[in-house]
Amino acid sequence: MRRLAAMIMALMLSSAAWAATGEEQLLERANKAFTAQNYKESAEIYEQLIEQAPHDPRLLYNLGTAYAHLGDRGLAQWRYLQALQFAPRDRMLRQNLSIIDPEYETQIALTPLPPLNMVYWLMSGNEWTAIAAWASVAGLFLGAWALWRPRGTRLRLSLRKTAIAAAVVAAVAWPFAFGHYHQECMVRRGVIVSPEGSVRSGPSENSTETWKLKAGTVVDITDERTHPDWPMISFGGKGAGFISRDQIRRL
Amino acid sequence: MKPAVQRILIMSAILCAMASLAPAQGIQLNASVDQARVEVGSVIVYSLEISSISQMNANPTMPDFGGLQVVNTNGPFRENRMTIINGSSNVSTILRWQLRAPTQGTFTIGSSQLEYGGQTYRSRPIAVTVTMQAPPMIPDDLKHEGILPAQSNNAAVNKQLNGRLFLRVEVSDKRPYVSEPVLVTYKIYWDNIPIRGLQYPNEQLKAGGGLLDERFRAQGDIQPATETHGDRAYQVAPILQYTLTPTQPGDAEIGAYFVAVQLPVQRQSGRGPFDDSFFGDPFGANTMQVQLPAAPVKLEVRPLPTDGQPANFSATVGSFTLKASADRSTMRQDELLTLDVTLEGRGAVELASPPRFPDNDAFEVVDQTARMDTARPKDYVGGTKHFQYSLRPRKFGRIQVPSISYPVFDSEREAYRALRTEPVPVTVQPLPQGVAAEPAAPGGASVTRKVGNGPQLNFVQAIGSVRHGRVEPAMESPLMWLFLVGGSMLILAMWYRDWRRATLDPAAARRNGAWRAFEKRLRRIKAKGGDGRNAEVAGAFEHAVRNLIADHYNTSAEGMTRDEIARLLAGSNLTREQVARLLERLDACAWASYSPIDSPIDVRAWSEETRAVLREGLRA
Repeated sequence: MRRLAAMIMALMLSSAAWAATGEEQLLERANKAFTAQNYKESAEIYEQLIEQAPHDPRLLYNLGTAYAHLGDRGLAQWRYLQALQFAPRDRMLRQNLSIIDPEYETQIALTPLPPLNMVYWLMSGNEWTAIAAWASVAGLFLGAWALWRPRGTRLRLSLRKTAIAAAVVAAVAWPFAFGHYHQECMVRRGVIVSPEGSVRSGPSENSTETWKLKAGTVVDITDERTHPDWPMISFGGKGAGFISRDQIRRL
Repeated sequence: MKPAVQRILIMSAILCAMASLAPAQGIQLNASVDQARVEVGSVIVYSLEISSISQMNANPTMPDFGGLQVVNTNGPFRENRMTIINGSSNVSTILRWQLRAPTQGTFTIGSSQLEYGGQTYRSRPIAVTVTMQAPPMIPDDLKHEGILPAQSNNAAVNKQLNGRLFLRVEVSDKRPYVSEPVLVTYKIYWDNIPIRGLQYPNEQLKAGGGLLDERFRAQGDIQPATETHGDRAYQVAPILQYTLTPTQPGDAEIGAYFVAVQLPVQRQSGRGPFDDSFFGDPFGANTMQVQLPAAPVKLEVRPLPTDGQPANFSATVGSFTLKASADRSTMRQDELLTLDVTLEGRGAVELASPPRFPDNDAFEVVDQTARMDTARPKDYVGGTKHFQYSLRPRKFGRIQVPSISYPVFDSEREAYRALRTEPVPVTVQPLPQGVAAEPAAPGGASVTRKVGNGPQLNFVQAIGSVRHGRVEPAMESPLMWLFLVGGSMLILAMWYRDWRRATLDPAAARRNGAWRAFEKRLRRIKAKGGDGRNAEVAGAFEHAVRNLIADHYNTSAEGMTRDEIARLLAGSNLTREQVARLLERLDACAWASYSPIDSPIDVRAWSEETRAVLREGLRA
């Protein structure tokens, strides 16, 4: 029995090690292809890796950079915006984004107030949520402790002050945390990936073209169940319509 | 209500009811214009009156206006009237259109048609003769510019204003090159006319296809100056400036524009409305609106010559200079150098793309930014733009930031020029022993590479191992919500316990309120007049202190002896000396309150000190 367990363990470890070795090789190949300016091959390998690690911001960034060098602005911006959700403070990512779309900050702005947007993008949704949750839990437990102590004692006063400070931090952090959650999980957003996204009045090629959206435009997907191949989108309160599935990617 | 009034009201109601029930009879459809002979650009009011003896629900067709332009495009103005004369009622509806005469000639407004009760009614056609405007009395040196005269609804006013009030368009260059910005300035000229409120149309200036426009000067920024043309000295104020940048060769047009001004007028008949004494209305109650139109301006946009166009030309057109300067002349190998490349001069400097940093083995670009100087020249389009490059040295020693080349098309010389910066010498000191330089090889982290002619994108990041799995939103974590709900429950339970403890224990409740009562009593003592030495103040102070101690220890203040107070305070944080001093003061206050003579003690001074001592001493 022990032997069997040891064999299974060894098999699992070796398969994990083999998988890791395979990934490292792929990474090396992708970087080499990029350095040799073979961006197409580099992008293909990064795409393979992203299937296994879809939320790794470094992979998303590298893939976006490969697409940017290929001149595919839509796909590059889509991958960069995905990466931005997980690594909002990544300076290189932001620089590249601003090169391919100088107005990207306007597209991803939560409010019309730039200082609020700056604070909002200081951290990712999970970071804001962690701060808000920890501050709330700390405030609640410290407040409970303060109430447990007799009135008038120094400890109670100190605990009360600390609990109030934690509550203030939580009150600041929660709106940003909910803002991220709303933008990233509740609102379905997409990025136009074709050079000229053709928005039509109906869900078919025969419908009238009402708008043309440039690659990299962030839009809201309002309905993708009724016509899965022609999701309905709206953009910035300016217009709405249907767009072919191959011209848009979910953010 | 008086019977006569009642009768009138009843009769009116009956007549109205009869009018609404009765079939339409005596229908007439009359058309008229307020002026049958007007000048080009004047506004005519065309009225269509439908009258009948009873209310009717029918609309006539809109007539063919025969080439006259409809001003009120949202539909006609509608007016309803009802008249009762000698017992017979007449209901009429008047529809009014404002029409503008575009050109000289005779225009015929067709008939309108109304179908009602199986019958068709037609209005008569009306002919309107449009004559040429009186030639604008513009000074000779401005005549070639096609300046239009001011327009109002009053022909006499138009005649008076001719040549004395107009809007002029100045275009810096009517034959610009593609990407060469043009400055368009609208100026109001007036000669001895007190113009008032300036009104801009809601619609923006219409720049034709291939023109990018940007407002340059804020509306309302009026600073008049004097200009002499012919024998007239005009007050001149630029009211609007636009920068237009042509994006394609060919003909382009800056659309027609107008502004409106208010002129004060007097309601006097028999004199010219703009005689000098006419502007004597001291209160400015009566004003007249006058429109100042500006004719469209045609531009001939020339294409940039293809002969001699440099390969890396980025469509920057203008007359510029290019300079480079570094933020230091000596640096360490692991530091970054900031190179400021300044493009300055006339032209579309704001749209200028950053110069390419040349490939070299001395420095590599880590970051680059661009910014415009906020100060802009007023008389021409241009300015200063700074491109800043963060440079990392590749080697040490005495090295040079290479010369940067930037091709532009000089529209004044009509030729391409390559602007160049001077090389900037920099001394790079090697790193001290034991300090490792950051990897700069391809595949290393955080280095920048230039790729082809494209933008300078950062390089890919070095990844040691891939982070598997999905990042689930923390907002959906049950553990987090468990802690938050648990914490909320806990704090509610603690709050309830604290509240119970405070309310159900009378001694604690009394102790909790002791300080509040003490502070209140002290405030009353302070509020009392006098110098704080009288018997009443001393008694009040003694009473306040005794009550505080009694409340704090949940005992009775009445009859509390000196020994009892000493015993109670022995269990507090007060020292023996403090207790003894407090008792002495209480004795002194008791003595002072019963003494027939003024006491030498200052109770108010004591009260502050005693308050501080007791707050510290009675703290739990």
